[in-house]
Amino acid sequence: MTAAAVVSHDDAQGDVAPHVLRLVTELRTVTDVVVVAARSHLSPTGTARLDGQARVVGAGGAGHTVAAWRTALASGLLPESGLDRLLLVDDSLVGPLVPLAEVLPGLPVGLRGLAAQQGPVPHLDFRLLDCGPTILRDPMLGAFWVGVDDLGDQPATAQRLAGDLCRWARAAGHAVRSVPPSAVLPFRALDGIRFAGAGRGRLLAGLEKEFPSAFAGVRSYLDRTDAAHGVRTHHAAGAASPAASS
Amino acid sequence: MVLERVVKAVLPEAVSKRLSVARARARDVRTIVSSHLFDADWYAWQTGRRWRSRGEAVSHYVFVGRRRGLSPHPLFEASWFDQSGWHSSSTDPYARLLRGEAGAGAHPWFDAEEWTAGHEGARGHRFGPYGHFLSITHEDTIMPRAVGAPGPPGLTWGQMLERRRAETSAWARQEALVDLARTTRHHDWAADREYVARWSRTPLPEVPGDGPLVTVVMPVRNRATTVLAAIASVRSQTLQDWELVVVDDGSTDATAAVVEVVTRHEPRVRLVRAEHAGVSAARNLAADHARGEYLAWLDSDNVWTPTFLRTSLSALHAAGGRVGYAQSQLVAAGGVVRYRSLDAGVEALEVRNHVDLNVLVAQRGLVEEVGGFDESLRRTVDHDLAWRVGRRATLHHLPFVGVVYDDEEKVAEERVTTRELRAWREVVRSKNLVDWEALDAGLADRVAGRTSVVLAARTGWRPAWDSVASVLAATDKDGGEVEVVVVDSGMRRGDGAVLRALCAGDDRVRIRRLASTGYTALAWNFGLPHTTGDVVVLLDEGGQVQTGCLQGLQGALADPGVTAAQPLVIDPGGAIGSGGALFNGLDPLPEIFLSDFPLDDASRLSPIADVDASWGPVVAVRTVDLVRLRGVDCRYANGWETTDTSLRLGAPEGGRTVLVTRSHVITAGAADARPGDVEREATNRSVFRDTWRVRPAGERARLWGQLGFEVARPVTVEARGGTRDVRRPSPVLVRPARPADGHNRPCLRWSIRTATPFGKEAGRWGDLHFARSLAAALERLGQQVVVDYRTTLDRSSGQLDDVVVALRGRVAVPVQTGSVNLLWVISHPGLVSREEAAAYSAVFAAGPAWAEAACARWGLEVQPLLQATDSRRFGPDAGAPGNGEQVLFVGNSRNVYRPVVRHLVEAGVPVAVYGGRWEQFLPAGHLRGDHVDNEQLARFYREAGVVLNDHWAQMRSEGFVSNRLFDAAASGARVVSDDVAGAEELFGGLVRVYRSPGELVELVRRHRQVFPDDDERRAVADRVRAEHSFDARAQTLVESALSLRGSPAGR
Repeated sequence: MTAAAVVSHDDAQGDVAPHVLRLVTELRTVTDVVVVAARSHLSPTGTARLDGQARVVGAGGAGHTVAAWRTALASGLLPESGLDRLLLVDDSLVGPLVPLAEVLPGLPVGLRGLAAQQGPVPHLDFRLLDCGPTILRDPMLGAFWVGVDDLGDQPATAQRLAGDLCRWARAAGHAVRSVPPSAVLPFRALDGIRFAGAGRGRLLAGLEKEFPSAFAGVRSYLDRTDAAHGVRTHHAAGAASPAASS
Repeated sequence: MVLERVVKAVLPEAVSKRLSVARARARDVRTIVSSHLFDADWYAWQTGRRWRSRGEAVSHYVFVGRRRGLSPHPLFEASWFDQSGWHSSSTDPYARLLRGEAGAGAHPWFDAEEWTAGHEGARGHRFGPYGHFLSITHEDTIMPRAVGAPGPPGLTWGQMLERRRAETSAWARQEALVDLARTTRHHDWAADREYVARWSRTPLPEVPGDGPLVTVVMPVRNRATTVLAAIASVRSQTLQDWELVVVDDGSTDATAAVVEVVTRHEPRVRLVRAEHAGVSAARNLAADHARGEYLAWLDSDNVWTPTFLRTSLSALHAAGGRVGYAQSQLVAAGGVVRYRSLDAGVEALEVRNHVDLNVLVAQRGLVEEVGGFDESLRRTVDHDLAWRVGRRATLHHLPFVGVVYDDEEKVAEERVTTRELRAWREVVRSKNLVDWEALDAGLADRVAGRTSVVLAARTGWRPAWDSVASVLAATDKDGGEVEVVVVDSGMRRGDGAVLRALCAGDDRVRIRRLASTGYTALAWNFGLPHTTGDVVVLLDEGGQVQTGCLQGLQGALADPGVTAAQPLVIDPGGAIGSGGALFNGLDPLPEIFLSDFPLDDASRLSPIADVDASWGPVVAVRTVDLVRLRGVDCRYANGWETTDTSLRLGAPEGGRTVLVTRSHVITAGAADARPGDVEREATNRSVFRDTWRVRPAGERARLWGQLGFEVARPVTVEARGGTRDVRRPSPVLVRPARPADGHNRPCLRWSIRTATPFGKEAGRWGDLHFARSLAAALERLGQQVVVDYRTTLDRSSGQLDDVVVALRGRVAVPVQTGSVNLLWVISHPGLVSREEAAAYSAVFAAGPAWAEAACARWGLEVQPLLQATDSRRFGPDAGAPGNGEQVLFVGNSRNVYRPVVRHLVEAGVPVAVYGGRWEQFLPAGHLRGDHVDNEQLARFYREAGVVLNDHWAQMRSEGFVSNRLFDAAASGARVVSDDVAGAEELFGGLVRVYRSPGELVELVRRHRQVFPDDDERRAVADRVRAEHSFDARAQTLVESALSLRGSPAGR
């Protein structure tokens, strides 16, 4: 079995934040190779942090996560064929808080991930898609990547494309499953915290208290990258660093 | 009471109001239930429900049914009883009738007065004449109706019931289609699975040749990743004998490349690349490439359930059908699931679409027979196709889910929905509801010379009936062959029922009902097949056709070069609403010709004047032309249809649109604000702009030139009328100075402003005749004159008037900024204040005594200017003395027993009275008529033995000699009048005044002795006509205006 993971990475200052490093480390426990697709230029410090952990491919033209994955897949850094498992991941995840092998045990039957929309026709969240061998061997998956454009409004575009991928997989007869809620809990999407508004400080403080190791460094990462994400004011009352305030 | 006060004090106002409404309703229910006059069967028929008890049905009626226009009894319509608030009032009209409260009556076919006149005791019945009638009526009872009341003559109770039931049952059938729920919350999945399983085992249709069983048609544009799911759902079908033709409709993304990749792995998929031409063109192109026996359509953002093709085609084949449709599952945001499932066939398509194209399968030959998709439609193309195939072959409903729409797809669907006009649905309905081919075939059989008025009835029975009644009344006067087709376009049941009742009995009127619309254009098109004339007049509700109108329009269309004829559209206040549309060469939107100008301006145009297009709620066209156009463009929502139609009619061969200036239609509201359409104006304009772009300037300069105006600047915009928030092009006009024809003075534009309200009663106002006579005299002096009504005093075109003559009677007339304003007080001087007088450039008064006093009191110049007579109308040659009434009085009672009449009647003198509101005063034998036509008045005066006259008390004391004295004296009559200062001196023995009742009787009895002989009377009459004519007064006014125009005080 050959398993690989592709992480779409975007850090305005070219660094690799601690939570990303922990994510890569965790992915290495279930895959043979991890490729980081860097949507922004990676500084020597950042590159050094990943040294020996992941292969890095420049994906500067990718305007959104899915385009970054496509760049990585076309880079030749992954095995040409015979992949049994491919994890497509976005760096805005914090976690997992428990070992990944427990959250996503074994090989996926078709496509699995975190639920973006519950109900009779669930969609998966674009931040983590776990593709199994049947999907990876479906020739139509290649057509999907042909259709992925570089431009778009991240993360809306990424979510729309993830929706298209799920819909195709389901229509083509592949199983599409969301992981059970208990497995979803360990993950936190950074955008949800970054744009939490006035409650951000309290939310972060709670998470830091509950999951100290997973959230170590998250607050300073958010603060130093807020401006690049269009967050203009510093929300957190009593926050540790006002670096991103303007 | 105490409790009520406490409750009121404690509860918030809204709650306490709701409580009081609830109490009122409960009382209404009790009243109706206890009356036993609620017809439960009749009500159940309307609702389509069986009620457990009478009480339950009555409650439903009071709380719900009445507002929907339902009726509690065949002999009651709430919309007739309470004509203004029948669906909104808090108390129920039926309960009010039963409680004996006042209203217009139970039904147009039941006249309570008539019934009471023939049945003693009817009034004493517990429920009045209504209850009495119902207690004794039987099948053959003739419905009590007043003479001349609308409705069928000699109708019996039995016939009435029969008619009412038939009409209600037709209504109920239509409403059942409107009420059909397109979606349901529940689906029988067990039955669905059983159905799918059953048809998965049955044989499929045999296919001749080597083509596949079915071709799947999929248009796609810019959905590079989305399309894959749709294609996958085709590949996953349990039926394998298919081909998929994907037409790329000019995508600018990687869509074509994606499909190309698919075709490399799946030979049954073909890609056709095309220039962007829209979804219908793409689907038709795919069908051109199809080889399958059947066609199925799948949008690029939808997916089928795997058994869709197998189940549909097997089931359809087994049923021997050519076209069928399955069901859809709709998953909304939040996971709410609904099912689109309606086994309602083609009839329900008349109201709205219930067939989803993504679950439709049809024989390819059938689709080819109907010509595929209509590429001119921008929306509801699927409705159109389903309808057209449904009219040709039975639509088979296949009860299983064939497609699932999840939330995102629904959002996508709504995007299409909001991008294009809702009115496209009406376009599709017009295409399919009207059998245009049959209309083509029947054109030769149209009755030459017959005018068919097609009336759109949309909002209520009243405006529609006003229009119908106006057409019938005009036709009764004018003659000619006229029919009226009324299209009840989805009015509430009660409104439709009353309109039907009013129109019944006149076989010139036919009513057809169209479910669920409210759009004029569709109503007009829908009415066309029910017409038989060779000329069609399209009329929106509320437009009242005046005498001579239809004949004028028909006459204009006799010219083969004319393709559209429009009447002068007049606002309710009497200003012109529209005289057609004119283009200025810069703006795609037209100017409305003569909008807000007085009626007199139109009379200066030629009787039939070319305009650039029609504008307003009415236009006349030849039926053959309108059928060739396939009717009015239904994209327009209650506005702009006539303009567009006239342009389309003219487009191919240069057909002209004309304004028929003597054809008048008075609208119920402002001509540019038809009922319920103001909010749609912006959309209509945008459709019009897209369709017509900028057109060259046409008749604009020539038409305004005929009225003496030049268009100063190319274009400007201004807000006006009912659509104050919408700006439209409007010309800036100037009136260049020019000399009056044949006179050594300039021709000025004059407005004579009166207090006369516009309408049928205007002719009874003396002020109006006075104004008309003065206007004619001014025009003889080479002036341009218009007469204004009380309701046109604020017209925006007033700024073009050089001189305003305010005829001051009972109502003050505002001054016009920038004009010479002349005030002429001709009556009611006590109402004029110094402040009012001071606002004018000059003041005249018909009472010399008052003028002198006012001068002294106010320190303003007030010049005496007596009333006058129309010397062309009043003269001694109007008749032969002695041929008329011995003692004549012409005038209304003014609701008092006028002493000049009373004293003589009481003295036994045979006074003949012509005038209104005299019935309450005069003994029998004196009242001869309610008025004398102005044209006949001179003869009446001349031929009478003696003419009586009097004045309002103040007029008499202030020396305001009435114009009746001038008219009668100019006719050479003998006149006895009350004592007004100066009258005997003015009229040289033709007028004798009395100071006591005895003197009055004496003067009248001895009139042959006390008045001069006829030769002398003639001589005096001629002198009065020379000195006191309107021409003389006009001369004075012109001189005054000209001198004022030159002075600073004049402006």
